Amino acid sequence: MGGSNATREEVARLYGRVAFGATAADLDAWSHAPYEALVDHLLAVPMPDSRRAAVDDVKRTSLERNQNALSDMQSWWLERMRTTPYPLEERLTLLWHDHFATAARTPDVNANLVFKQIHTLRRNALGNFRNLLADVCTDPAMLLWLNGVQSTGARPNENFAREFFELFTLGTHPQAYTEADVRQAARVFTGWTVDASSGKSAFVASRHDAGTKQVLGVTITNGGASEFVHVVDAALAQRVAARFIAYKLVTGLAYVPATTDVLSSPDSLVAKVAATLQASKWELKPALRTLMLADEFRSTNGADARRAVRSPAEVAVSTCKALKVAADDATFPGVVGAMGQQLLVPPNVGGWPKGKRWLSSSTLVARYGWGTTAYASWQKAPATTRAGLPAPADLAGWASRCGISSLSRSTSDAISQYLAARRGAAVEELQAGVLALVLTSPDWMVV
Amino acid sequence: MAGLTRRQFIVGAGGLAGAQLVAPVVVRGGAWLGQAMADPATSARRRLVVVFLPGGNDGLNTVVPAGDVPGAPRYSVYRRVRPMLGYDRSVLFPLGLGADAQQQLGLNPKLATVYRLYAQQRVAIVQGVDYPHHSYSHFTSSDIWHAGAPDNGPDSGWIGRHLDRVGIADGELRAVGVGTDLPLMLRGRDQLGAEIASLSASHFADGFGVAAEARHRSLAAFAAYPAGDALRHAAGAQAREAVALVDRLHRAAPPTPSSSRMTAAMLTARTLLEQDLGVEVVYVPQPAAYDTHSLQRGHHEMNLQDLDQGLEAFFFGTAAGKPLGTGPLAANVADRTLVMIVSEFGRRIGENGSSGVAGTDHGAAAPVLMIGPPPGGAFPRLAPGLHGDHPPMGTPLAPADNLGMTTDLRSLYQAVLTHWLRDPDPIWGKGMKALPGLFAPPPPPPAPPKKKAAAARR
Repeated sequence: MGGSNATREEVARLYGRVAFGATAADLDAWSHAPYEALVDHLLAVPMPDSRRAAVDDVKRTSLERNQNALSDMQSWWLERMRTTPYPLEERLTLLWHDHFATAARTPDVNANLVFKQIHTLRRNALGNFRNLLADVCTDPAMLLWLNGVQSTGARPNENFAREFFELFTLGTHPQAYTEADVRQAARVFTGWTVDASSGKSAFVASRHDAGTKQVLGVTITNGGASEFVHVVDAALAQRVAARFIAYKLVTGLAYVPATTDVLSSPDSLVAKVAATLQASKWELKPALRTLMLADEFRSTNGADARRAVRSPAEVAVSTCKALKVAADDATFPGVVGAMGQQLLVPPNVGGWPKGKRWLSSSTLVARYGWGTTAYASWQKAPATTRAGLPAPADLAGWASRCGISSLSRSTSDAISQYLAARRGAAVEELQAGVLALVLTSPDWMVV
Repeated sequence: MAGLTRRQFIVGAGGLAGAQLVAPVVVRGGAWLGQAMADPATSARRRLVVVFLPGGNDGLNTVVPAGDVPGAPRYSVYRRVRPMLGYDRSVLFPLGLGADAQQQLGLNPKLATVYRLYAQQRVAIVQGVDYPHHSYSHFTSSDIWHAGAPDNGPDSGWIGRHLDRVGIADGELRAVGVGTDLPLMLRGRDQLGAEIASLSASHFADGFGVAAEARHRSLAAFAAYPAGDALRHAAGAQAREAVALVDRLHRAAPPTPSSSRMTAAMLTARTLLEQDLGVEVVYVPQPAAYDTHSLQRGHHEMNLQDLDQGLEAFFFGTAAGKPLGTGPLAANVADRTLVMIVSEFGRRIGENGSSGVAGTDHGAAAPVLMIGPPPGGAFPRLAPGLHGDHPPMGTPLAPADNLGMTTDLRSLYQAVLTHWLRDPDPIWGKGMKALPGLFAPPPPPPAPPKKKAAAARR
């Protein structure tokens, strides 16, 4: 496991799944280098609080403060995904945004609060899952989104408590909690509100249920502002918890496991990642290292090839990285939305579709449209900064440019068929066509 | 002319791709593989529109208790447990339903169009619909409503399995979802429905010129990706589906634009039904959030009004009474279209908050609204009025916590499949019987003048 040098295909796959795609330079630099060294390179992310602020953090904090347009925040994030020196951190931030899916919704949940929540996810993205979960429990956008602010001792609201177990910690395959646990945990979470003027969360003791509760067999007495941490720990102590979080990591970064039951018949990679999570006491970097080094992640041979589908945000960012064009074009969030993923506005608390559900006939039409948008953006970009495009018929060059190792025979044949049909057409027309086709090819969309 | 050009292109592409590249897989859509549709059987098909209200619609404030009867003081219980959210019966649309006081119910004041259809004898209300061993999870419960099979797990949808049984002819768009994510309901074990975000989004960005069509031909040829690598193979198949979808829809005029996403979706559904595309089922998820844990009154009314306006545009072609320029739903389509409005669960009887923020948590059984053709059309037709029993609500001093199942959703689906869609073999596990009386049977046929004529008709 993890030994040997990386093939060009493995470099392309690893970057494609966890780092918003490879550039041609990434492919050249890491092919034939030790695979394990590449994994450690991606994991070498200093803790956010211990490093200098990035250039774009100034813009970020300004977007957090003010009433900005949703599309400005979406654009900022796409560009951060493209330019960050730590793509794994941003990729995990996107994964946690899906896991703790919170949607901006006027007037209940302001977009800038969701944007701030995303930075909370970012600060914890490669840290410790327990800390991440605890931060989310009192996050202002979450308190508004799942009705924590309306939940009081006299009238507890079950919304957050139910999703805390079902979606954030334990899942339902198998279900390790009862309706009584939901109702009791709802009492524990009472007392948290959001200050309307500062947008910060605050604990108000008079709104909290000070009684004794029983959650997952644990007796919880009044603990004020830190009482909810007992529910966090009770949930994470369940055997199913590490398996469930591992399932989400595998689903987001590698493939959708064939089996949903995480306890009695877990997917083998889910079991490995869960074991590391438990051994590391919920540290995420070791778990991700296990995931990326595992044979299940590296191998795509045979009829049971397990693969990931690039999500629309990854499609946009990977393309922009490949073409060396900015990803904060004002038109991009709309196109990414048409492909099915509006950042900051997941469809519901369950997040976005997974795996092949990204690939429907109508989203394919939108993905094809993205190729056209991307080419137009490349044409507009300064010739000094954008990447050069290969000659239309240089299919190996196109594969490299777009961050994959090669194009399959069937895809090459289909594109050659196009070039033959348009023989003599202008180079620009052919380049636009080849780009749109590569970006909708099975080889590129599925990594 | 563009259509003709494209059709010729597509047929040409099929010949080339079929000979050289495309593996012999059975694909729905694929107009270039089949012939143009002119089968009168498809235009005579009954149609079903399933409207889904995501988040769990509060059934109790949709079809509202408005009367007390001995042993069932529903209105008194309702007002007691819903001091903030309860409606006074004077503001409801009265569903008198004859002299039977037990059936005294009212319709939410935002559902003016539904009430108008009710007055036309077109609305059936199926009460207390749920499934055994209710789940309070949005996702589990939604899956069960989509699958129609609480015991089997969500491997396929109830319409998807119908598609498996009846098949989908080449070039046919038999079941369509309006959205970007194909719903479980339309997924069979073998057959899949299609889905479109909108008609205007069902065109390729580079249009239909010669240059574009050369690309689209290659896009369709991605379906030749070898079958061993399942996900990539599926991606290639979907690329071909996309080309087929655009080919089917490019001549359908987009509906009148609307600022309401629900109205836009309902008008898209209507356009799909009115075109000769072979459409039998359309699934429309309302773009709204019915998960009203708090601040329910305003949100719920806004959602119901949005739904009602979508229905107004769909049936009558008007917005708040003003013509949208589309006219009413074509009579020959209205005569064979059934609309069914469902959600993943109802909400708890009692409200959960105080003062202005009151909401309701996840509940269980809820009514299903069904809207049928105008009276006088073909039989069997939807029998208007109440079906099934109202779930017990307890007493004012001991109100029920929740509304329990009185109608198994499988019996409702069974009735729709059997009597409306004429499914040849709508078998469920455990011999689920169709909900009786939901569709009025045809009257006895008039005595034929001669025996020979009747025989000739068969």
